[in-house]
Amino acid sequence: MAEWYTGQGGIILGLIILMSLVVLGITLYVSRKSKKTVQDYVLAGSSLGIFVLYFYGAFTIMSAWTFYGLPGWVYANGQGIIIPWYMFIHLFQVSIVTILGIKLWGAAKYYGYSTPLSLIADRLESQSAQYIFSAVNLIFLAIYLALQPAAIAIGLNVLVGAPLEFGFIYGALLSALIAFIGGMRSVAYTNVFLGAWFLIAFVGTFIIALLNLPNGLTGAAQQILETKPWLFSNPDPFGPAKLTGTDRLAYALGYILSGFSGALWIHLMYVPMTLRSPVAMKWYPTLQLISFPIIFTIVGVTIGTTVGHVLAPNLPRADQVFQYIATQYGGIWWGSFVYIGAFAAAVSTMGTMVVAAASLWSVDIYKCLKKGKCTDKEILWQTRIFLWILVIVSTFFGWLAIVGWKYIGLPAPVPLADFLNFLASPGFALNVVLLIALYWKRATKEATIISFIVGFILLAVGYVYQPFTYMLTGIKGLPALVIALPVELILFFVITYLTKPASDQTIAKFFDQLEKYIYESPDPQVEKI
Amino acid sequence: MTGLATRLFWVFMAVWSIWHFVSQWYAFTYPVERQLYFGWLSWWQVNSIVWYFTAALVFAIYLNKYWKPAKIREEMIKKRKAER
Repeated sequence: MAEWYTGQGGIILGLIILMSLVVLGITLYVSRKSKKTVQDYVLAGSSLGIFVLYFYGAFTIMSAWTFYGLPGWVYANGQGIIIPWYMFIHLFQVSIVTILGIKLWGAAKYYGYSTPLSLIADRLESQSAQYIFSAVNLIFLAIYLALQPAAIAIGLNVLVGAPLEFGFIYGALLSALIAFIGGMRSVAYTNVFLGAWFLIAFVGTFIIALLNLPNGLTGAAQQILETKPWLFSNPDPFGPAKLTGTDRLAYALGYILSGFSGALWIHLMYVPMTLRSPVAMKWYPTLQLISFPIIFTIVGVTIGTTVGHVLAPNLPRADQVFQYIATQYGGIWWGSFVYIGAFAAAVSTMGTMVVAAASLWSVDIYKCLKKGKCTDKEILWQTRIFLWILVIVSTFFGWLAIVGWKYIGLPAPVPLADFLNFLASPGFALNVVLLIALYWKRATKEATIISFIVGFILLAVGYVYQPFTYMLTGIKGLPALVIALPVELILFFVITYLTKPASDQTIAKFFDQLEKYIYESPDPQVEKI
Repeated sequence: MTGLATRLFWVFMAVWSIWHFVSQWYAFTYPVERQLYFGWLSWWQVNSIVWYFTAALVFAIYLNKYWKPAKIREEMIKKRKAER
């Protein structure tokens, strides 16, 4: 039997090396501009403009989940529930980069904060809050991070039979190297190149698929309507889960609530802090809200449902549908090119997450432990060392969920989309009280910390012991977030009114002065416009 | 003091969030899987496209014409250019 790296495997390996060299070249070039400070490494020196922002923001959001996970999910479960879920997420994501994130931007620029959690902890006058919020967010970031090398590994394994371990290790190595060398600035600039590759591969495959449909797109849609109409429904009343009545409503509610987390993904909270000026922010929502329905709703969803079930019926693993169509109908070269598109999607997202997660350790935990008595150089090296540790741990977790699932007692490998839908996204939703605290003067540290911890415990119990929500409510399939989020919010507001607000000095710093700087009078000494 | 445009924008955001619950309810109570638009787009796809484009338009108008953080900085840029 031929080795995997001959034939198409050889083409892919060549393209992977080519892409890696280009990306590392950009990384090295961009890193020369670095000022070797923590703010420069973690936030690209708050210097990005609209062009880089679009690719950086959009392709941090669009990951391997978009490339393989979304078409695979709708192929298996239908499109109803996933569409409103990501719509909600995208609405809140554009908000965090602009109207909600403006305060994060202002604090980075005016006060020099280098992470969102160090800002929120100071606002709450609590260092212990910083440890708790960072540790919890690190857990969920590591879970979402695990999806990316997993997608690279599965894609390569399905395509050319490469050992899963190769994909896991190579993908993790490349993204860690980009982040290690140049920090967030390199990640942002390499995302322009990676994003362009993603777009060509994703849209190109859609066009190729359309040209190969025997009766065109309308014929394919009619065929699905006659044979599997549940693919177009909400959420699959006649599909695999066969949910009806209250169960269906609860299932949908869980999804909608986790959609809130779009504004609360911790690595996205870094994005507004990397920008040069609010002027760079103002076109971002429009660009994202116009391009995302084309990429997600038209290309991703149509490939998974209407096209997928006609051109690639009865696939053993739904996550394969996009790659299968690309290779089968575009040929070996196109299939290889598309695989690199998925690879690029994974690496571009991983880079942002790796830098963000590493700074959660170095700035939010390590610096606090040392009571701020450490140099920029020391923190930079802590960030660089920790990012490797994180990448290794996440990659191992991804490997366990996909390859070693039997060892940890799972009934089957975890579907790619579930890393985000069911695991990471509900976790990020817990950050809602942190964002409220940033905008609401009355919010107190006791309320924020207690409600956040209780929300996390409820969510964790729901993950570990699945019948937990059924025991509490009597409703089947109810996600733990449906319990955790309302309890967290109720506790937050009740405890806030029972405890003392922050000192006048803190209120003046994070509300009066900061808002004056953002909304009324930019300081020319601070901000070079 | 928050301006009228900002207040209207937040009203839009609230309505936009409610749209989700209303459209979910509609999709629950009507057999939307039987509806195709232009021969191939499902009800959820069309709902999504209309929703995104409307939101894009509202964000574009609000952020470009009324959003203060960008507006005051643009005015500063203009002033500096004029001074030169």
